[in-house]
Amino acid sequence: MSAAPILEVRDLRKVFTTKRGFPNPQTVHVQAIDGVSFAVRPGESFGLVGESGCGKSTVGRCTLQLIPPTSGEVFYKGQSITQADRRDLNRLRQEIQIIFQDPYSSLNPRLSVARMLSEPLRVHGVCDRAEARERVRETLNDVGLPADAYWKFPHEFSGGQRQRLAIARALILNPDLIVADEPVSALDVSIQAQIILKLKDLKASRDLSFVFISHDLGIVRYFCERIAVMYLGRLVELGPVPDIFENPRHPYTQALRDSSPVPDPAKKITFRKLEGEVPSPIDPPSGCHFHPRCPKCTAICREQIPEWREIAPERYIACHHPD
Amino acid sequence: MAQPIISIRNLTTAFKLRSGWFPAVRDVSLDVERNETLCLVGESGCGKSITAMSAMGLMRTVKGCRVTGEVWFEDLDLTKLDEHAMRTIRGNRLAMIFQEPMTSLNPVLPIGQQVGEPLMFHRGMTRHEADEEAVRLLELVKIPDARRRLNQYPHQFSGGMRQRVMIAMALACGPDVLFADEPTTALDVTIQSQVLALLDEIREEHAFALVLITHDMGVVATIADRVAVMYGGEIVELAKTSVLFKSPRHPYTEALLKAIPRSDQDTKDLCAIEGQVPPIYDMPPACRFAPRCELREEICVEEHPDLRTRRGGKTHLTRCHVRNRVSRRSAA
Repeated sequence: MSAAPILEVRDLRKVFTTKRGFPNPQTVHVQAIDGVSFAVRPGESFGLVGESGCGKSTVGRCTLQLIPPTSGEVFYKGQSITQADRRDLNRLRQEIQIIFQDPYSSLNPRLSVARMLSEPLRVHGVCDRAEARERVRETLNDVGLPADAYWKFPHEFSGGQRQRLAIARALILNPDLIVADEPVSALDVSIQAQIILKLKDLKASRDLSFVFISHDLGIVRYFCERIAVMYLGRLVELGPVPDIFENPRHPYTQALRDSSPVPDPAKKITFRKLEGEVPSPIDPPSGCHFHPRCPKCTAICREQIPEWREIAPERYIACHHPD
Repeated sequence: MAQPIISIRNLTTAFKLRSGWFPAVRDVSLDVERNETLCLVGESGCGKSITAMSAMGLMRTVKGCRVTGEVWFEDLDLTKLDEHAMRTIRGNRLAMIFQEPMTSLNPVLPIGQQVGEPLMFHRGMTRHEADEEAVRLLELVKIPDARRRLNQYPHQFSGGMRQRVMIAMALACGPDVLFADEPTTALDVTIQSQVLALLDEIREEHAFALVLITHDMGVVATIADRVAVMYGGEIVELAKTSVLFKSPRHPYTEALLKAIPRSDQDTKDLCAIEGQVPPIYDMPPACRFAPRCELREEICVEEHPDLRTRRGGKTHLTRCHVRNRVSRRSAA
């Protein structure tokens, strides 16, 4: 590996407890993340993809300690986030920011843009009021919002503009790393492209690193350099973007790629159907989580959890029968 | 061209806002043939769902909403029918699937009753007969263990399975036209591909007309025979799927296709469409796409363009002054 990673996640696990059943609720455990490890390099966009419920958002939140993980560690520039005390954590959070999916519920409707964006500056005691005003104006300009946005409230903006506000809020403290959790999924195609281009532009001009969580393979292919595929709480494959898309070796990655519709009738997806549905993380299948839907499943897949290993330089996989 | 099974003529659906009536759908005309899949595609608020709901006669009871135009189904103009007559057709000869399988199923009724209801209502079946038929329908949409699941409730089904139940309900009376409003938007891609494959297969087998509403150009490419692209309440382009993707003529369609990053190849330059869709109370009077259009000329902000073919063409319609004119010159 070239440079020291900006973010390193080691064997992260998260178990949620919940009650199920009526009239006698039983406590059940949901293994949302089951031993996830990866590292993000400085200046890189690292894509995390998977279907709903696979735990990708939980990974994102655990990296910021918005949800404390059950076990495992997260390092930011070599310093442990999971072990950090309140004061250290506060400092670290200036450098790591998050953008959420839904620009309607993630902005406080009662805060004006000016207050919303200057609040982090005040909380972290970064600068005085006059300078804060200046920085808010600069950031609004950077994300492509008009200057008169300053005194407005969130309801005066469209979905795309709200997402720009969310980006501005993430940028205001000059972070080094941004966790973007499905930042464009709630937006229309034409607006989606605007936001993606803006993020790409900001990434270059501000030298940002991204953990980019998405279910849309097209967007990940465009935005990210490396990608990890998750299934039911575990990583199944990780590698550089062109490699993974051109030559996926895990049967799930292959299925995911082949079922993503492409806007080209000549390349009609073959309806290569993956039978069945994603099982519940409350009662995941034994061995390899993917085995009930896998076309290559054998006895060993039902019994043993496949090991996470480097199959080629830069390529990691957890599968007993990789292609 | 074969006789269309449903023919929408100059459909306009307007809503009453404080400052007057504003059309959410304006002058939409569409013919759909039996055994054909037509996709209505566009961004949110472009009027694609309202078009389908108006055709189904679901907007007529909505307060502050006015539907004009004609919807011909066989020899009937559906807009002239009273609600009683419409009820004998809706859910019977015309059926609809909605986007949210979570909210469109009744949570307190077992699946079997919900699938069987149209059969009892339209076909006069008994409970027992309807149950038997419901099992057959659930098997048709590939729900495993159908007989046992008949007595289960919607919350016991996953998202994909619920959407299959919706399809089974819609198919119950063997409809001639099926409107599917974003049927796979709430689903994951692997499940989406299963449901699309199922719809395609059943459409082939039962030879009805499928009108699929979606915002996803990938879904369009996968399943459609013809595509109608909507923008600001109007159809801006109508063409065969292969033609539309190969040589889009309307600047909006073209821009839309360039704004999608693809998963099957590297996207060199992604192009966003600047600006946003104007709200219905503030639509440009002439070409509705003009303010965002790169080809905009004077005529585009002065005169409303017609949806028409180029000279010599028959099936590829575009609503654009510039593109339709350029072609005439090059053809001459």
